[in-house]
Amino acid sequence: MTLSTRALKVLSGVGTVAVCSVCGVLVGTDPKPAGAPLRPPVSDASSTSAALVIPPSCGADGVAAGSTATRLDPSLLPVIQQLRQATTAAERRTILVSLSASQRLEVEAYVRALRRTAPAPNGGCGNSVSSGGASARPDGSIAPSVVDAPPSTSPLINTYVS
Amino acid sequence: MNAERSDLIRHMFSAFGGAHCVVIVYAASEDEVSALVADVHAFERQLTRFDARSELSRFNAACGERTSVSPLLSELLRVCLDAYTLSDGLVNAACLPALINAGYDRSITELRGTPAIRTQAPPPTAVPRLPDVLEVGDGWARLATGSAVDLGGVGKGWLADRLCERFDNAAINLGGDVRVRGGGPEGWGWTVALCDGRIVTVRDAGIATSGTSGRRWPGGHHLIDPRTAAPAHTGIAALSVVAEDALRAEVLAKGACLVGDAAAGAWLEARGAASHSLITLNSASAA
Repeated sequence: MTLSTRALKVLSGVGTVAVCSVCGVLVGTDPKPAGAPLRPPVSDASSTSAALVIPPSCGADGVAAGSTATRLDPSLLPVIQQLRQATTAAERRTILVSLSASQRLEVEAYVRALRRTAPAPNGGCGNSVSSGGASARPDGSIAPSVVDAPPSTSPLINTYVS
Repeated sequence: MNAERSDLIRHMFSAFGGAHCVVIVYAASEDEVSALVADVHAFERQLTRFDARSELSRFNAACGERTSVSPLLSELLRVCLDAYTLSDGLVNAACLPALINAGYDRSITELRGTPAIRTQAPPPTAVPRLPDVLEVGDGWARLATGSAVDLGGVGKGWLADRLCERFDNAAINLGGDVRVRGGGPEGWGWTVALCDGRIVTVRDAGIATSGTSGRRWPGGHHLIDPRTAAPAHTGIAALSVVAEDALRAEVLAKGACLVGDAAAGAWLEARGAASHSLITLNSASAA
C-alpha cells in the first residue's frame, strides 16, 4: 500500500498525540507511595547515622545552608532590636512582660533561630547562657557545676520521670 | 536551712496534662513570674497533640504538604532534629504513630482513668529516621505522608531553658525537666534530688529524668524504642541526668534509658553528661 506524504504526516501526528495522552494519563493516575521519604538516602552509607557527623545544636537542623531565621510578625521586630540592646536579664524581662504570652514565645523562638545562624563568639554553639560558677569546655559548651550534697540536705527541687 | 530571703518568689502549678511544675526565682517581680506561667500554658495550647486545634496537631494533619509554621514550631522542629542527631536516632519525634499504637492516644490523666484502646492497624516494625520524614525551612516545614511528630519532653526541656534564662537566679521545674541558674538561695547552688534519692548541688545546669516508671497505663508505657516502634524493653526504671541545660539532659536521659543499664554510663559520658543516677528494675545504683 502506498501512502502519500501528507497521509504519513497525519498518521505520525495522530500517533504522537496518542502516545503522549497515554503517558499523561499514566503519570497522573500513578499512586504516590504513602511512606516515601522526603529525601531518600542515595546509598546504604548515607542512611547510617555515622554519616551524619554534625555537632549537636550547631547547625544539625536539617535545613539547607543559607537558611535564615524563620518569619516573625513584623510588628515584633522592634522588640527584637530592644532585646538585643538590653544588657541585663531584668531589662530583657521588662521588655518581654509587655507582650502577650504567645508573642513572648515567638520572640524567644526567633531569637534562638537567629543564634543558630550566627557564629558563637567563642567558636562554640552558643547554646547555653551561663551566670557563673560553671566552666566552659574546650568546645565552648558549658560544663555545669555538680557537687554531691550531704544526705541530710533537704532538696529544693525534685526531678522525676516526666 | 536559713530563713527564706525576702526577694524569693515560689509558685507551683499544673501543666502538660497535670504535670507538677515549680518556679523558684529571686529578685524578680510577681508580674514577671505570672508572665512565665502564662507562657507555659500558651506553649502547651500551641503545641499539644491532644487538641486538634493546636498548631502541632494541624501540622501533623497536613502531613505531605509544605506548611507555614510559626517561629516557635519551626524552632522546636529543628530542636527535634538536633535531639535525633545527639542521641544517634534514639530520641525520635516521629514516634507519635507508634506511641498512639501503643495506646497513648489521649492525655495521661484520661488514659489512667480508662483502659487504652489499641488501634487495629498492624504495628510498624521501626520508626522512620526523622531527617527522612521532616523538612524544616524558612517559615515552613513538611512531614512525609503518614508521619506525625510529638515534641514530648524535648519541648518541655526547651521551654524550661528559655524561661530560666530570663532570670539571674532561678530554678524552673516543668514536670521533672529542670533548669537552674545562679547560686540559689545561699549562693553556692541549687539542691536537686535525683531519681534514686541522691542529692546534688548544681548551678547553671539542666536535670531531667526518664524511664518506664512514669507515664504508664495498663499494658504499656510512654518510652517508645524507635528501633522496634514499641514500648521499650529496658532494665532501667528511672534515670536522671545532669547536663548543661534541660534540653540536653532530657535527650540524654531518654536516650540512655533506651541504650539500657549496661551501656548507659559510657553512652552518657561520651555525650558530655555531667552526672547521672539510675534505678534499675531490680536495684538502685549511682554514678
